[in-house]
Amino acid sequence: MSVNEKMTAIADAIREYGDIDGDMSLDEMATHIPAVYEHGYGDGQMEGISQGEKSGYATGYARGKQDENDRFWDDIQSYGNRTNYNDAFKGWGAASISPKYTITANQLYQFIHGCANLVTFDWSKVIPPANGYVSCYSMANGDSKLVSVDTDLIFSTQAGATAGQFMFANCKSLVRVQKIYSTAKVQYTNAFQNCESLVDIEFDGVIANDIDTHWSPLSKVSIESKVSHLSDDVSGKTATFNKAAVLAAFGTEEAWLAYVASKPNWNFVLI
Amino acid sequence: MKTVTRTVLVADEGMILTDGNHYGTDVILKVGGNAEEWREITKEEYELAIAESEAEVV
Repeated sequence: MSVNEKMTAIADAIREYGDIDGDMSLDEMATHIPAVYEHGYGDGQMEGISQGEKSGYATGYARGKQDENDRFWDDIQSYGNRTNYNDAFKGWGAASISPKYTITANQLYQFIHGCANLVTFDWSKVIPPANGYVSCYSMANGDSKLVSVDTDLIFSTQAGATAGQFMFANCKSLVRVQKIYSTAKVQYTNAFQNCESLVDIEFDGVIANDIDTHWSPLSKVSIESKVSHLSDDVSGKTATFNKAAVLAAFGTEEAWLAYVASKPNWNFVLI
Repeated sequence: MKTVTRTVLVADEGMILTDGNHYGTDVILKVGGNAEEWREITKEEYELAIAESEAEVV
């Protein structure tokens, strides 16, 4: 390319992207050539804005949302170092709670108490402590919409009398409790009060105090689980059941009487 | 052979059995349990007792 051709090409670029038309002198080219850069810069800005408005929006939204969610849980859970979860989510208004970090507290005292809108909790984040819970007092008490508790509630030998009281009181939508591992001291006063949807619950360990599930239409498997873990070492304690559920499971009161013969030390009440 | 006898209490129609702490229409007592610890109350009395019990929860 000759020098003249090169100069013409520069002039053409200035005419296309700059702010001058027609013939121009070398001095005019020097004056107006910055406008080529400015034009390119402007086009770049427009392209960036366009990307932000179109392809970039969804990505930006998702990242902003995730960052804010992370900051929230980092604060609530002390970057995963929190160990005391007493009252942790008490009264929250969310329909679902999905913590960022695992929860390894030694008690769940009023853990999700009074969460009126709560439907689901990410129980996969709740890891029972090695020695079991000291207390689950009033853990989910309240007229919530909670459907399922998908974690093992394993009581420690250190758990006191109140550890199981009011655990699920008024959880009218609760259908399933994965497992309660009971120890002898734990009392279940009002633990299942108004749990009118509870069907599936597994017991383990030893139930050594009165336990009333008469609100709940427990399945046969659940009824048998409860009966089979009633302590053989106490006398005169009372286990109360929903009469319709027992009759549905065992057919007749005679069959029920025969079934509970294995626990002669307990009173059995139907209502 | 050992025969184990358990006392079974059944409430009259419209009535509820209670020992002061527990309520039911059908009660199988523990072996050797004392039936005299249980008495009948009306359903209205039962519902009142339950309401008072539940009120303590709130």
